[in-house]
Amino acid sequence: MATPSPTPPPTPARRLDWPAAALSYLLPGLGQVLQGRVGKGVMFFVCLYGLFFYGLWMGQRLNVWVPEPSKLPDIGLPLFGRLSGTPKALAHRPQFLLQVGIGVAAWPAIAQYVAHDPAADPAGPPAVPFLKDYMLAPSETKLNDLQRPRDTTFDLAWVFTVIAGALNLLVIYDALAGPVVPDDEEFPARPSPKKSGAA
Amino acid sequence: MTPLFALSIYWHFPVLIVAFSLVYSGTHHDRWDRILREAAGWVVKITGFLVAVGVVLYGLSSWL
Repeated sequence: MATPSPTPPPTPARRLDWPAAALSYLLPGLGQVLQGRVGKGVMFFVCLYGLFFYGLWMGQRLNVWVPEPSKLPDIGLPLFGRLSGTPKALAHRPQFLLQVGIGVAAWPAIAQYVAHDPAADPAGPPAVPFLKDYMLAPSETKLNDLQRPRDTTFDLAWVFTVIAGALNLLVIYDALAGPVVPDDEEFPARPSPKKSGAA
Repeated sequence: MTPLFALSIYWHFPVLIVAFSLVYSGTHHDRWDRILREAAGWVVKITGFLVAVGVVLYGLSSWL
């Protein structure tokens, strides 16, 4: 008769570092740097900002933006019905939901979206003066011109920025709770708390 | 017909593959030896997959 195998000890609960997670959202790797994992934080920053801005460069800086919803056709989703305002804009440009995961680097698109006045003259002064047309939703004519050539680099470019934003979600989790696979040498099991009933 | 690697789009992939592999592995381990070993594995796996897909598509476009 087989003897029952002993049950493994429970895995110690991880301490969640919410401030570090927030910092890693703002700037990839910043939370890790403040936790003392400087090399890894710098590696995250270089890789993710490198990937994001490389994609932005490939797309001629015209692939991170939120469209103006008043100019878009109506769109409806099951359970939500007909969308309007920001949900409508994001439904037409769902890439931005992951692009914004890169943190501060994608915030100019939000600033442009918030400050943009659809009734304003397109040839007038920019809504956000110091940004000019950076991450401003491009005109449909410009987008069509970019996608007309046989070269598909423009279409690949936004994928780079989306992957950078999505990868930063993993970096945020790493700052929050540590690596997915804890290295035993670096994360020793915490001593079990003393039983309150012990004499 | 366009040669397989004449299209410039393929030359952007190393940036994506290296960045993805390092970051993904970095979120799984804290020790550099483990990070680099896993990242190297991902580079090989992703590159192999993309090359295989590229060769198959190139073959289909060449002989069909």
